[in-house]
Formats: sequence, C-alpha cells, structure tokens
Amino acid sequence: MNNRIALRKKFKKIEKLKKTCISNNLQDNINMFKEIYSPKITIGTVFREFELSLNNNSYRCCAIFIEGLSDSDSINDNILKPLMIKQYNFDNLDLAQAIEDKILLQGNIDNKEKIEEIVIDINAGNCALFIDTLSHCYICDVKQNEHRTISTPINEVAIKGPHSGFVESIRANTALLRKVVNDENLMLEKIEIGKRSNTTCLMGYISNIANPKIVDDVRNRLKNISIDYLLDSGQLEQLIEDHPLLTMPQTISTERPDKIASHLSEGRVCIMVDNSPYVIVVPCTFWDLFHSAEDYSIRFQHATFIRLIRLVAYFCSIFLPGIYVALTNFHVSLLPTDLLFSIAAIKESLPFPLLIEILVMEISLELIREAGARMPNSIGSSLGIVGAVLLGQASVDAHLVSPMLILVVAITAISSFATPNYSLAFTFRILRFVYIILAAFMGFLGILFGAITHLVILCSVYSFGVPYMVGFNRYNKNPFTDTVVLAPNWLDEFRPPFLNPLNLRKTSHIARQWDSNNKKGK
Amino acid sequence: MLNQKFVSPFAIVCFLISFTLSQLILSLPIIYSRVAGTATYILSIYLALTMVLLIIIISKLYKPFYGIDLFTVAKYVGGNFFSKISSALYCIVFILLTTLFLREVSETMKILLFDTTSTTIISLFFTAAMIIGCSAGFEGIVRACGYIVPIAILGILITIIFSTNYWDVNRLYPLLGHGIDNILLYGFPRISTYLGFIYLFDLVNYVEKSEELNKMAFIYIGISFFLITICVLANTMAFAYPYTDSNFFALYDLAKLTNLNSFFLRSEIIYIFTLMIVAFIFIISMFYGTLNFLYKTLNIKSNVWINIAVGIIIFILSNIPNNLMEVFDYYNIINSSLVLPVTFALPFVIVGLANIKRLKNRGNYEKFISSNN
Repeated sequence: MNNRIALRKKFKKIEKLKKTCISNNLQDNINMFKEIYSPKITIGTVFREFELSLNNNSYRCCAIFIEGLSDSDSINDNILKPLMIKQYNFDNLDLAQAIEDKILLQGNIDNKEKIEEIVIDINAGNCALFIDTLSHCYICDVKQNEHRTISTPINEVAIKGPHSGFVESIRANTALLRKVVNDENLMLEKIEIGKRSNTTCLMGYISNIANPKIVDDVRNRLKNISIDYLLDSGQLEQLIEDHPLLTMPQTISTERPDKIASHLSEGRVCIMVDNSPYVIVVPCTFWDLFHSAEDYSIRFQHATFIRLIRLVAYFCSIFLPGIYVALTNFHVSLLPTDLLFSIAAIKESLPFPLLIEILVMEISLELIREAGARMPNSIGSSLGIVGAVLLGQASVDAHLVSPMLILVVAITAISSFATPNYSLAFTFRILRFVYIILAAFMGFLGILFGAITHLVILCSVYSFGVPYMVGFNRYNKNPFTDTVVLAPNWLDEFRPPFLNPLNLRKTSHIARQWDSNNKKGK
Repeated sequence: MLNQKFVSPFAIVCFLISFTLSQLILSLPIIYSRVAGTATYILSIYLALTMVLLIIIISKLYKPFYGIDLFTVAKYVGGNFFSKISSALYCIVFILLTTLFLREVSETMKILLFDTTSTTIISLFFTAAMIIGCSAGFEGIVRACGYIVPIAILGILITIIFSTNYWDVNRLYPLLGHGIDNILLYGFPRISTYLGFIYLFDLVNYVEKSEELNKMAFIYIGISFFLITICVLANTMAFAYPYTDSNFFALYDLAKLTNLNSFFLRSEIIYIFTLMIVAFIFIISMFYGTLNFLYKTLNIKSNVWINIAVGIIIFILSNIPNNLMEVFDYYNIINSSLVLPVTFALPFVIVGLANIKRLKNRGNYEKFISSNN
C-alpha cells in the first residue's frame, strides 16, 4: 500500500515537473529527464553526453533520443559529428546563434523550453539537444522514416485505377496524398490526440473548396477529444461521429489515396492518424458507402450497372433470409404453386423449425468467415471449402436443413461480399439477424416494420451537419449524377451541393472544348 | 456545422401524398363508389377542384402571415387561450384518426394475411413502429417519405396497369352515377381525402421559402387527384357497380385479377407490400402530429416516456371498436363532426380573423410580424 502511495507521489511529481521549463544548467536538465524516462529501469532512451568547443570555450552537451525511433545516421552525421569533431571560432556570434546558423547541419530544427513539449518530441522520435548555459534546447527532426512498402490496398482492391494504398507511416501517407492531389491549397493541419500517446493526426482539406463551417466543426471535434491513447483511426471514427450508437458507419474509411483525393476535391475533410493505414473522410452520406473507388475509373455505363448490381446485393444481404422465413412461414399463399409444393415436400422431412435452421446456418457462416479471417491465407481458403462441403452438403444429406435454405444462405453470403465498405458489410451482417427474427415473428409485416423504422431513423441522422440520407433532394441539384446512377464526367459539373463548397462548379460547362461543335457531350 | 434542417420540396410533397395513399389503399374507392355510384371520377374531379379553390383562398388569406405557423397566428388572434384550444382540437383529431387507422389497418392485415393472428398483436407492431419512428423527428419522417412514397405510387400504378385487361368502359354507365346533386351535396365531406391539408400549416418551419408551400400544395393536389381518379376509375371499370359498393379492398381485388401467366402469378404481393409501407409511414406521421400538437398544447418539451404513454393510450383506444364495420361508423361520425370543422374550417376561421385584426390595427400586426421573424 505504501509502495503504491509512493509511486503515486512520484508520478504526480513528474507530472508537475513536466509543466515547468528547462534550466540553463545541463546537469539539472539531464537529471530531470532521467527522472522522467527512468533509464535505469527501462532501455531505449539514450542520453549521449559530449563536449563542444567554441570560441576557445568548451560546453557540455547532451543529446537525448529514443533508439530505434530516431535515425541514428542522421544523429551521427548531422548532430554529433559537427558538434564533436571540430573546434569552432566565430567571434561575432554567440553560442546559440553559432549552433543554429553555422554548426548544426540538421534541416528541421526547433527551439523549445517547456519540458512537456520536449518530451512529446522525444517520444515522437526527434532528438533533443541540450547545451550547458542555454535555457532552451534544440529539437532536431531525425524521426526514422521506415515503413511498410507502399503496396496494393488490402481491402479495397480495384482492377482499373491506381494500385497504391496508404501505409502506417503518416509521412509516407501525406506524400502519397500530395502526389495525387498536387494542389498547393491542400492544407494538412496537425492536431495531437491522446493525453499520453500524443498521436499525430492530420486534418486535410482543400482550402479554397471545403466549406469553412465543416472544417471548423471537424477541427473543433478533434481538438476536444479527451482520451489517454489514440491507437487507430477506427477508434477516432467513434469519437467524432454524430450518433455513436447507430450501427451504420458515419464516416468513410479508406486506404486509397485516389479516393481521398476525390473526396477532398468535392469539398470534404480527411483525417489521417499516425500508425493507421486507414484515412477517415467526413461528412459521409449513405450513398458514399455504396460507391467504390473503381466506379470513377471505369466508363459511366459500367459503373452504373455495377452500382445497380450492388444495390441488389445490398437488398439480398439484408433481407433475403428474412424474406425466405416470411414466405415459408407466413405467406405461403404468395408463392407459385409448384414452388410451394416443393418447399412443403422438403419441409416434411426436416426436424427443426425454419427459424432454428436458418439461424444455425447463418451463425455457422459467420463462424467460417471469422475463422477464415484469423487463419493464414493458405489455410483460410481450405477452411472455406471444408466449411462449405461439411456444413452445406452434409447437413442437407443428414436432413437437417433444406437445400433451398443452403441456396438462400449462399446467395446472402455472396451478396454481403459485394459490399464495398467493410463497416457497412458488418452492419448488414448484424441487421440480417434482426430481420430474420422480425420475419419469424410477423412475416413481411415484421420485415417492413424494421425497414421503415430503420429508414426513418437514418433519415433523421446528420453527419457533420449533412443529412445522412441526402440523395434525391434539393441539396443534390444533379441527383442522378452520383448516387445510384453515375453520369458521364462531362455532365458531372458540380460538387455535391449538400457540402456547400466554396466553389460549386468542378467542371466547365463545356468540358470537351476540343469538340468543334461545342455541344455538351457530343 | 452546416445543419441543413430544411426538407426538400420533393420530400414534402411525398409526405403530403402519403395521407392520400393511406386512404387510397384501404377503403377510399368504396367510399367514393357509395357516394357517386359509377360516377366516382366526377366526385374525384369535384373534390380536387374544391381543394384547389380552398388552397387559393387560404394562401391569399395567409399571405400576410407567411413563415408563421397556424397556432402562432391563433395566438395573435385570440391570445394564448385560443392558440391552446386550437392545438388541443388538432391533437384530439389526430388521436382519433390515428386510433381508427391503427385498428383499420390491423383488421385489414388480419383479413388479408394473418387470419390466425390476433388483431391486437398486429396493432402492437404498428404501435411499436409509431413510437420508434416518431423519435426520429419530423425531418426524418418527411425525408423517409421521399423514399417510400414513390415506391408506393409505383406499386399502386403497377397494380392498376396489370388490371387493364379486365376494364370495361361500359361499366361507367350511367355516366352521372347517383346524380350530380347527390355528388355535390354528399360528396363534400369526402374533402377529407386531402387530409394532408392538416399538416400544411406546420410545414412552414421546414421550408426554405414559405412561398414554395403553395406550389407544393398544388402539386400534392395534382398527384393525389391523378392517383385517386385512376384508382376509382379502375375499380369502377373492373367490377360491376353494385359490387364496387361493397368490396372493401378494391385495390387488393384489382391486384388479384392480375394473371401474368408466369412465375409471379400472384401479384397481390405488390399491393400488400404497398399497403404495409404506406400504413407504417402514415401511422408514424399521424403519431408524430399527435405528439407535436400535444406538446404545443401543454407547452412542454418532447419526452420519450410521454411518447410511449400516448402510444399505449392509442393502442388501447384502437381496441374499443368491436369490428371493422364499427371502425367505419366511427370514421363517418368523426369525419363530419370533427375532422372537417377542425382541419378544414378552423384554419380559415383563424386566418380570416387574423386578417380582420390586421386591417384594424396595423401597428400591432407589424409588431407581431417582427417578433416572429
């Protein structure tokens, strides 16, 4: 107990210490930082002490950095070598000026006095350089920039279109984004979230397109998050969305730079989180979750066709099992006679009620899916085959479930894979069970009870001030250009009006100006 | 935050049309047939023209008060008491209409789909839907109408188009049905077909430009007129006259006529689907109206527990009629004694009196307008 109290006291003292500024005595500063980093207990923090000779005087110096996080080559070449090897003589310059202007070769340096800020920088991989007699320290940007190689996005594969995806390094991600957007008006504001983790987040927007009200709203929400550790963008999504209890995703989360660039060009705001390959885009509407990155790289007719197929897939993945339950349990009179007879004949030999059958099959499917996701790739595919053969064929042979049900479950599963947004697909998986149970209670009435109340609730939801179900209404002046139907590029003249962008027009009235007839689309 | 609280004109028109659809899919064709005989189309034209006239008059009267809801105008006319009385009357009308519709639709569901299920269980589902749905607020309900109503209209049109094989123009004779005098006299109470009028004065807060409300009202009347006319015409032409007087589910009967000689042999599912979606959205809208007027009358803020309590009261009240016929009887009584005077006459009285007061005391009027804008 006493130990606990002593520890608490110690940490309180350190917290107090962090609020203060460094002194001009190097040894005091080193002691202070040793107390904060406890190098005797834990490894990693390097306290490199050395001497600098300047104007026939020698000054004790100390470089503090974290091994592995900082680039040791940069530290050696740009900080230690210039300071340690030579003897400098600049009569007309004082110590601070000489170091800043003549000695340090580091490109990005900053002066800091507050211990709290210095600690944040050291934790981020920078090197803090302390020099005796100076009441500030130099923060040299020597972060190690090692990251996973930029590769194809894992969860958003596109056949046509760019193949690069974001990685875990925020620096690499900003470079990727800047390369695609290539606009000096792209603003990337740094906001640190997490009282302890101080995770770097970047809020990106195109300053002369995005509505300042939306930008302010996003900034305000990000700056007012009180959390100890922010580890991933998925965590951040839940902290900034308007309706955290809703199952539907209210932000767009993507690992594709081209998709982010497209959204930014519409006037939206993106949020990058360090150590996360997923970038968040807000505001988000229901129809945005329905689009895939590839839609804009293929011909508009093809994209429209694919979207219609996706709409059918959405419908099947949510409602199909429920409709099957409703039709066979409640509304048999609505089935064609031949089909009715065949269903009735199969039902005769089955021991369980339909609800149990379908729930068992759906849960089994979820089990296979979950197991497949956790397995290594090579075993994952075998698991799928085993699952399909064992659960499907064997259960039909054993007269546990009807072949019709297997067909329904299979179509539902395939449909759910056609959903381009992972979070949305997850929502549909949950909703499917809700609709099965509602259908088992009251048939079509139950399904429509769920569907209508859900729709009404979704229609009342806002994402950063934009109605979630915005689509075919006045805020979309050209409703058929980018909801279900994708219009050709030369017809898609405006940015989404519901975002109220500073510049509404994105394409000239006549986009195909090379056309001598000068008529739209000709 | 952008906070786009306004609702699109498209969604508002759809919302108003849902009031017509809710009657159309149930007993409207039989009611028209009973009043007009084979001349249901004349009744439809007569009521639409009357509605247009009413809208023109009320919009002229309302012009000095654009952007202000009816109860605020009532407050200007007769103070707080008159405003409260008006909203209380509206609240009573909404409670009664919601109750009767809940019972009517539950009975219809039971007859058409759930013959072994108790009406109370079916009512419970609708009650739950209205309690959950109204929590979304007015914007949510109206926007949802923007998605649901076009589907419902499509469903009705498909039902009617598929029945064209069975139409016989000779069934329209005698062309004047029960006679023009009967239609004009006894048909007028059927103006309640355009029940959407009841909400018109509450929509001013959700429209960007109040002047647009007029336009929306005319579009609403136009589309409703079109749908009513083709439905009653289809009913009259598909079935011989005395039968049209007694078939309670005219559209259902029309749907059952369809024979496409293919997989979708039984196309009545389209009707049932339409009936269900319209019933759900209508009952949610009506319940929201009930609560809205209740809160206005009592001058209190929205509360979940009050919503649930009122929902349960409506559910209990809906079980009072012994059968569907009794529901129709109550409908007739309420329609003539309460719905018409409150929803169609009261707004004219309030706005008329407000105009008289405005002309008498301009200073007071300008003060009132500036305080409400």
